[in-house]
Amino acid sequence: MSSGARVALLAFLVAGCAAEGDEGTVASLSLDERPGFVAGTLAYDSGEISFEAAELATETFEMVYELNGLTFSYLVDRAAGVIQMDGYATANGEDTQFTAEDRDAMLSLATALDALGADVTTLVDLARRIASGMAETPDSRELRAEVYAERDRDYVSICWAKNSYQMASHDDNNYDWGADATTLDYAYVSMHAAGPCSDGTYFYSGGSWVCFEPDHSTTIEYAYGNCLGRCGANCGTATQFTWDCLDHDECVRTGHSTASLWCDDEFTSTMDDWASAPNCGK
Amino acid sequence: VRRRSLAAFAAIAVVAAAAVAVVLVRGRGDAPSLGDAPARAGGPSRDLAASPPGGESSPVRPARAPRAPAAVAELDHEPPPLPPEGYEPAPRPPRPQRTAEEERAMRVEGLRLLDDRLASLGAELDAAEAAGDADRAAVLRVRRARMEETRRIRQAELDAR
Repeated sequence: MSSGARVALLAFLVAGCAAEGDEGTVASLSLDERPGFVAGTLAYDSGEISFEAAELATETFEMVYELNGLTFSYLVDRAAGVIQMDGYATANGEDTQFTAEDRDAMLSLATALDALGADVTTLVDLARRIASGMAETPDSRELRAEVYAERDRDYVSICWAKNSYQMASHDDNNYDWGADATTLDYAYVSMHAAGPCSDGTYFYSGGSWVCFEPDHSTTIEYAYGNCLGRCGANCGTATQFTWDCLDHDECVRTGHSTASLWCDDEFTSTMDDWASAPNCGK
Repeated sequence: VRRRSLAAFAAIAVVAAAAVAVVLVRGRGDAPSLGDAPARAGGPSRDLAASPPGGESSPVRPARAPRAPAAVAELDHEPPPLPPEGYEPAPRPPRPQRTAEEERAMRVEGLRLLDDRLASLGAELDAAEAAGDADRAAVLRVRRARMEETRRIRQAELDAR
């Protein structure tokens, strides 16, 4: 290991699955940081995930993750606004898919990196943003993708909307974007923590706030909780809020599961936001 | 006689129950369980035809079943205030679409990014081989082959436009 390398070994409680009702488990993260490079390995209750993040050129970064026999890479040139993503079987490079255990691994890593706090290098920040985003990958999403990241075209930051009610919507097999059944008229964009139900979101129903998952209801119009509108799974240290992330949250919390094919397009729209949208602060 | 009949019946019932249990256990083990990870060593494992009935969409996982609501009395925090009467969020401004020229320019940038990374991956592979790091070299060879395939796909897409 080169001189100047910062190596950290951290043991902490992984509570990323708390919203699903699971108890936290002790995990350990080893981190090797050098100028322009960081690598880490997280050992957690159900396995191990490792990653490398490198600054390849000015504003060009690559994050590579290995988990459960899968390699996932996210290559981004932020100046050009271009991103190349890919996921494949580590052993032979064949196509594969993201499943529940992969989402769990990414969420565990994101949670572990969140524990480092807000004052981290750009590479650590990017590594956890991508991990948190990938923790919501639908089963059916093809992992090889080229996406673009132009501000106010491909992603729109809505820091100004934090702590306010905004409209959020999705489309699916039955409804268009903006239809009553797929739209929350008043989604509260905030860092409010998760509630005790499956996706941690409160909805105003019958005169009170209730934590549950409505299924394309035309009478439920108010929602908040579990960092609604924040990019990435659940809550976390990053505070990016965008229209695309808000719509994706709305999709998977009002009648579809995280794995749902019908939220594929909403998920795809968030993939550029992770590396591009600014943090909104506390 | 009655006791013998009862004993025989009880024995048959125990055997039958055991047989049913064996069938159930075997059946559970044999059936593909929801959420099973695909074989990483195999080819494409997505099977959209296997989508569960009922309109939900995931090929391997059903919709999340709603859980019992928590009553408002259990809130341990201050919920956000409801918006004032008549409040309407501002409509979202439309996002500009890319022209064909702009789309092509982005695709060219995508190819350039792949080319740059392929060049540096080649250098990393050479270094790993020179250092005798066979494991690292194997990982990099797979990654490079995969990226070369991606580049061919993207070039074909660009040429087709």
